[in-house]
Amino acid sequence: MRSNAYTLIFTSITTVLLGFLLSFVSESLKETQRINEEIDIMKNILYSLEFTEKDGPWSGEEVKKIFDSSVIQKVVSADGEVIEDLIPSEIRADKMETQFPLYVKVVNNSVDGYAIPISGKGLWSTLYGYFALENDGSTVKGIRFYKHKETPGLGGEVEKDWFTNNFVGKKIVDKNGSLVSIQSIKGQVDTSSPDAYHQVDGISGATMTTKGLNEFLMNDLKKYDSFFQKIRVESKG
Amino acid sequence: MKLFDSKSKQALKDPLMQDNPITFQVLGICSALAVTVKMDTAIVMSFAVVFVLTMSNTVVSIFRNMIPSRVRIIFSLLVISSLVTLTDQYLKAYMYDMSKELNVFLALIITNCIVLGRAEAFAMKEGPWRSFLDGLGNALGYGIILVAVAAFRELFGSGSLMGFQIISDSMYTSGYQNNGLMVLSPGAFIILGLIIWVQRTIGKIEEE
Amino acid sequence: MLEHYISLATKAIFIENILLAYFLGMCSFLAISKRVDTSIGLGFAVTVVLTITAPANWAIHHYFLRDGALSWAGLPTVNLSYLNFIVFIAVIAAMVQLVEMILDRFSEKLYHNLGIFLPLIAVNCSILGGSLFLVEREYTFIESTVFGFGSGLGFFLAIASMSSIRYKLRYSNVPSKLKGLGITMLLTGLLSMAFMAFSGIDL
Repeated sequence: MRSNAYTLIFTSITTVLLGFLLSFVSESLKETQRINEEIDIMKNILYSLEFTEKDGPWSGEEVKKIFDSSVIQKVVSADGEVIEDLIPSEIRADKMETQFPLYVKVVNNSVDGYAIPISGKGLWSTLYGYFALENDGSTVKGIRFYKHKETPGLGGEVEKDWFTNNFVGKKIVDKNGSLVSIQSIKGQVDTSSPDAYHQVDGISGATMTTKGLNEFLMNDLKKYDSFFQKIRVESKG
Repeated sequence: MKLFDSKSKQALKDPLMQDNPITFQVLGICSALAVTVKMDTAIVMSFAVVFVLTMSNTVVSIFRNMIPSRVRIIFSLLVISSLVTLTDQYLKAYMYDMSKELNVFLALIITNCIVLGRAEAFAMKEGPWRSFLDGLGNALGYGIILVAVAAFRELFGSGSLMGFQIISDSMYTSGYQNNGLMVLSPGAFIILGLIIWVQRTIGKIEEE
Repeated sequence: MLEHYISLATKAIFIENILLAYFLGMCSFLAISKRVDTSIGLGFAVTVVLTITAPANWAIHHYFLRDGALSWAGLPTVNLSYLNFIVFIAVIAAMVQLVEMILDRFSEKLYHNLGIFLPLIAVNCSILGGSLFLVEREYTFIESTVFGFGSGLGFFLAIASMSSIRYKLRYSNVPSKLKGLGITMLLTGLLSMAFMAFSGIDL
């Protein structure tokens, strides 16, 4: 049996040493980790905007190159105005409720689509993703989830192609131009139904996940509604 | 002392088959099953365990005569959780997608009974070199089972191995379907149960 | 609001059982479930410790470790989340010790029944797993407590039912090589499948 003092000193030295080691490693890897996170966000925005990986997976630099060359980052206000000289990462925490990020895909100097971040509760976790519209402001271009902890095989199916592909080409507004969002319904969509233009097949066994998805998609689209209304008017005129 | 005397060899070799940590010592099953839906996560997880287990065994063994017996377990836990944090930070920096998939299960290596179990049962008594080999052997034994379970689950559950499609499209068009159960948790239990059965039949080992 | 907590608890107990869906706490589950009375003891101890450690770790993560948590101390850019694992395990070990001491002081009977399990619990994956999940899922304080309690009950339920099944198993004719661990894994698979049926519940 050793003395209490020895035990105490031994434990303290170990703790301090290990603490230093961990802080040092974490500090030196911080920058790489931050870049990874950024690139991951960019990659998911690109996916939702229908960029596809032609020659195998992108490297980090490729993602950054494509993103910088064909996506413009903007911020829009709640009344649909683009706020000049502001990019999404500069939105202040207290302005989150009134200023929203918007990613514009530009091909040959003309707008080819808009991506917006979406997030909300599913069954277990908060789902995070991007939702993209065509340049008419009403047709869905793509949807992509990059972070969730839903049950694999059930709610986890939201990230699968069979589910997300259903969204492409659907409309988020009805004939009168008011926002209806996209509804994922129980079972399969009846194509003869008058509501089929904004419905997608649900995921069987994942009622809570799809219910959550319907709700937060509607909420997120509402934030941008005045902006997209303008786009819709412009594209018609 | 020879580098590989018989006892060192035993320390490395036994855990691979006869004394496998998962199927015989019944240790470390928690984290083993959750990451075996796909082979690549299982392989990365195995490497993480190899790193943590060999390092923790070596470190504990080096300090074994200095550690006050009262704080023995706390010391081992501190070493183990630091090693796991290092692995986690490393993966976040260099294998970002993988670290997202493993998420909390990587951290659960800390409470993986193999790591603490080997530190207590072996490293506290034996020298660093043998402890290193024992750690390596046990981690590899763990890895073998992990990858085997993952191979079955991915092949039957998703029709692929390492992400490459194995079962051809023509099979699917003629009516073959992936077994959804394999992707879910019961699939893991059942596959592991069957693997244990087969292994014990080959190894001629009986319990109780 | 109460409804929300009840549904969270129901999810943690049945639908996403920490043991049968996330495989956490398997080691002690397999080792202990041979006997009914010890299983119930362990299940109870896990429930108690999880209910205490989940909110404790939540508070520590929320006020000290998370990105920007130290802004009350004038250090808004400090992110100590890399210390999460090491601090969580230390808190769990300390809490287990504390529970042991309290039991020793106030209830000799309970201490005798649970005492032997408490050291085991510090390295039970389900305890650390519970704390890691609540960070991952961004629960609030009350949600964490409810989740911790629910997960503990889930573990209790799983281990109690498993030990009863294994008790019955003594009288069945299992192939000799499948005895013990093998058949237990297969049974756990079936039990887990049965619990999956709860996922159809619309909460």
